[in-house]
Amino acid sequence: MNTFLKKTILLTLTAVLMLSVCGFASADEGVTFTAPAVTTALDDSSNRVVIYSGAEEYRHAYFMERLTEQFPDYDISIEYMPTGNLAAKLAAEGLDSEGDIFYDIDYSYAGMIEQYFADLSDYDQEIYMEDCRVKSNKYLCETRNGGAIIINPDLLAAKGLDEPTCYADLIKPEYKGLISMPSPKSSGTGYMFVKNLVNAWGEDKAFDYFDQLAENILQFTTSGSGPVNALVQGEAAIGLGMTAQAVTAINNGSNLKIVFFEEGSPYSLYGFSVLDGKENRKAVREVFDFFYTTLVVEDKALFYPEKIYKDLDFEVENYPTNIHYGDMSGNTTEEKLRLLDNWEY
Amino acid sequence: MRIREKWSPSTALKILLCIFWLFAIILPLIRMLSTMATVDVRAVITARKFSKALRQSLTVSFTATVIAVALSGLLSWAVARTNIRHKTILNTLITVPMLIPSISHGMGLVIILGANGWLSRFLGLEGGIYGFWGIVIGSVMYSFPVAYLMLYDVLRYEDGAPYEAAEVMGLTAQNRFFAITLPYLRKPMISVVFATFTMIVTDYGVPLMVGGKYMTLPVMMYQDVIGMLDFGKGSVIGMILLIPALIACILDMANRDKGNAAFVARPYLIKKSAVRDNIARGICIFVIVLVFLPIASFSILGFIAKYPTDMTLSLKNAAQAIHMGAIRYLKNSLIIALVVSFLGTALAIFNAYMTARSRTRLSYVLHLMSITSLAIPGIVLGLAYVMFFKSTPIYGTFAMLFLVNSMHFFASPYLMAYNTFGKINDNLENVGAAMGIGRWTIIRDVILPQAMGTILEMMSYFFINCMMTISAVSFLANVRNKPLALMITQFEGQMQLECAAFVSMLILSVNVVMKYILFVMKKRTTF
Amino acid sequence: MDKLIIKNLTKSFDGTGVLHNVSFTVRDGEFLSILGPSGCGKTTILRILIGLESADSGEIIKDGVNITTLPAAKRKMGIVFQNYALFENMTVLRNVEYALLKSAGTKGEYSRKKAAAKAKEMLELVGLSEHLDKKPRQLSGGQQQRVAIARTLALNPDVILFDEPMSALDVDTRLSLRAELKELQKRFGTTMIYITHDQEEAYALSDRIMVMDAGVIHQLDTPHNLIDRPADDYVRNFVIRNINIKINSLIQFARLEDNK
Repeated sequence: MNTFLKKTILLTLTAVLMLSVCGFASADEGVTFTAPAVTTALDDSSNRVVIYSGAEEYRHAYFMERLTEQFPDYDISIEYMPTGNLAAKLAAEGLDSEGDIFYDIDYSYAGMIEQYFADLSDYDQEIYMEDCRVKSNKYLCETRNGGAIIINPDLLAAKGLDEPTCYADLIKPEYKGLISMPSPKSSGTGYMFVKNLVNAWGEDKAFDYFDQLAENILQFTTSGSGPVNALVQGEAAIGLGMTAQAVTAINNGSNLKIVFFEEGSPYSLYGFSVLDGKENRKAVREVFDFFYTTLVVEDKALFYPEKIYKDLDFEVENYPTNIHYGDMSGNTTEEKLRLLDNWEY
Repeated sequence: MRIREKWSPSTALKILLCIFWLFAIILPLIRMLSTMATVDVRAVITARKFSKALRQSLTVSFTATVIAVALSGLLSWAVARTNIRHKTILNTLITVPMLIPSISHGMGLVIILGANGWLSRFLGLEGGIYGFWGIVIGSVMYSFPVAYLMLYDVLRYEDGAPYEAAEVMGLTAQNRFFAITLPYLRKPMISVVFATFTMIVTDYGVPLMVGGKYMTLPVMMYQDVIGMLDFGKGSVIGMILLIPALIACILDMANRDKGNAAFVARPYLIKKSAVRDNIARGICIFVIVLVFLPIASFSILGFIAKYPTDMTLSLKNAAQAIHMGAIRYLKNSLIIALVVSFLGTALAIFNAYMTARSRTRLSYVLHLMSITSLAIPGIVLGLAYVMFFKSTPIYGTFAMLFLVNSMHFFASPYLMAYNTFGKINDNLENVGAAMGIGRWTIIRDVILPQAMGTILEMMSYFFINCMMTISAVSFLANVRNKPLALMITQFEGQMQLECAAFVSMLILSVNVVMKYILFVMKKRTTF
Repeated sequence: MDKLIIKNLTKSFDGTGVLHNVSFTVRDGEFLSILGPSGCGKTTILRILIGLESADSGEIIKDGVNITTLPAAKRKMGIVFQNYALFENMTVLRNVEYALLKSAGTKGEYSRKKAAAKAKEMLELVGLSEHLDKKPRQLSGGQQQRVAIARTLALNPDVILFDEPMSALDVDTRLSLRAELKELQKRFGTTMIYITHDQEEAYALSDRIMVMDAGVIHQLDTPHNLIDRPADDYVRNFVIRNINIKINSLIQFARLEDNK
């Protein structure tokens, strides 16, 4: 059962990958990335590589298959933890962490723990979109996680309500108790909506708005995936959630609708890095470089197609195209802490 | 017993234990609290959102405590003071909610009483139970069995003599209740209320699932620690959550009732009354059905393809969970639970013996340290351990998890042993000394066999909690020693509620088996 | 002959004096009661005598040997407590047998078989032959105390100390147990020191009575002399207050004598 399932997953994924690679390969012929040359002697005493990641399990399954294929002699493991837990653990452990590579860390967290990451200035960041580049060179971009207003049309229809078309609609009394939003304090997804509206409208107006929106909110979920879960289960009718998750749910048979309001799609960026000192270990370095040159690209092509590379575009079934992104400038750790200190919910 | 001799072996052992506690609880906690140094504590606790969360925490916990204690009082009366049959089965069924993590109760509630819950739809409830009542209902669900067990024991062992006297004097049932039962219940009731309150006020599993917008302190702490990586602020809240448990400890120590079992005159005599028994039966059935609704709901959820879009029965979730290592994690959990149930119990027995049967001033220090763990929220303990032990050789090993779980769940089994040892004849060691039978021989041959029932309870308590715990181990576990319960949060965070339900079921099954083993063994050891 | 000589015992707990320079002697084969209100220090004397507590100063001489610092196990004394202190996980028979097999004084002396035989013999003496396989909880208070007495006697100690052994029993049981105890003492000739706050009991059982209050001895004399020649006002008041009890006990004492 076990191996059968694994094989099925792998086969499906490979098939999808082939298709999508074919899909973009013609347009972006010849776009490849190379890791910087290694100049110092690397420590090859251990073959063990531990990856801590906040990504979804299906992405991990794919990574594991590819990594075992690429590095059959290495003992590689991927451990899932919610990004917040992961960051808290690293912040507490510091350089004593057993993790070698850290994957899928929200930039706003990464900023708080980057002191424990190796210096990655040798890696070319020019390959990324400008807003994805990390000035401190402590981590590299790996995902753009876009947000959208996601709707369960059946539920709205059952209640005889119109679909909202702008943020102002969401605070109408008829939507009371129908809206789900992640708590910006525990979820990067929740925070990006706040930051987006603060940038678009100014702080006072945005916070006033959320005060009114809170009246209509069913629950501020802890995790960013909470709202789409609630929509799928029919708990909520409208969610401020993640586009990619909604697409997955739609592809799995849920009837959901993804809409973007005038202010644009808020987004947060996710990065990956290596624990300071571990970059000198041969196995770790090779795995990290494989992510940089190959796996991240494949990950985007399969699951998170939103644009991070300057010269590379991806398509995924049912994924919205030509997304108009919102203004997310000034998205620093300090700004996040400052804004959320005033957050009441 | 020889207070005068400063360096008797028992004093030396006590000092040894104190040193152990220093490293196992005190120093890690100090390390954690040192992160508070940079925090403006005043600003944190005077902030409007803090006072609001505090107020809400108190209100919701108080309400839930009142309901849970009232419910368990009614239920313990129905079982302990009537002639209804199958009391063992009833006791088992009533305590099943103690066998799953609180977050699973929250999940079950969403399925039933969420905005799209089947009962909400059936009753036409708008918006579900998110918020105040959601937390109250969820908290009552997992906390009332604990209160029930405590009250049931109190009622069962109450002396029947005063009732007989009162009846002879012609007091009505109502008067007997106010004149005897209530005063008798006062002291234990204080312990029950505080234990229940502490349990509810520090929990974040239920508020996370069904809290809606209703902010409570543990959720706030969770957000500060996990969301904002602000350990300092989290510690401040953690400190405040320590207060109710601290009060409970002090009250408990102030009115400790060291009753000697040999002197309970006669058991309470239950008279015949069909009406009363029928009412009791009704109450029991009603409560058990309520308790099992969420559990049954998520049990079914574990075997549904995709709730609510594809309601066909399927083993897909089981396969998925197993594919992701559920079996390996289950093995880890079993190793942890078994080792801790022996190690933790041994330590608790040792400690309780030193405090209950060899009283010196040092015993009080030891007693206080032993019950501190009751008050430390799992997140705080877990992070404290990370910071304190991160560069020691045991970090990242199974030993680390053995230790953290032994400490996290220490207080309750310790108190069980403490009370039992206190009730066992206090002259056994003396009579042994006079006969020339050593203390250790008396402990081995007389005291431990007499406490065997309690010891088995302690072991099962450690076991069951190790199977369920999420908060403290979530930071300490790693690739090699991750326990099964962490899969619940993992699935929950990845919108795979069905898989999370399956894992909860797996934990429930293991714990039910454990309870059954305990039941059989207890039957064999009672004398 | 003097069995025990107690010289100048002084003891205080946390700075509060409990015993002040207490000296007395106990004769061989004597039944001596220590009588006094609770808190007068009588239990402390007992605990010091058997070695559960050590005195701040003073000496205990037993059979001419100074045992002041000897551990309890080596003093060849037995003790019977108010709450029986039985091994509740063992049967009645096993309680006595276990003591014989494990006690430092008799260890190695008994095979399992011999221990069982001896235990049965002792239990028969206290009238418990029919209850050998019961657990202590299944017995009445008086029966439980008989087990404790049999267990202590089996080890054949030089002195047996009793710490209010009957205060938890009802009146009828007390009366019969009293008689049995006196009988056993005559039979074994063991020196017994008996603590009680019940004058009636003391008068009925004792060869001599020691009246104590607040850590000092007021009088140590025969029951008769206590009544006829009280040493001070304390003893006089003590006795007069209980004049009825005295009459009752004298009558009972006479009965006991008659029964012999």
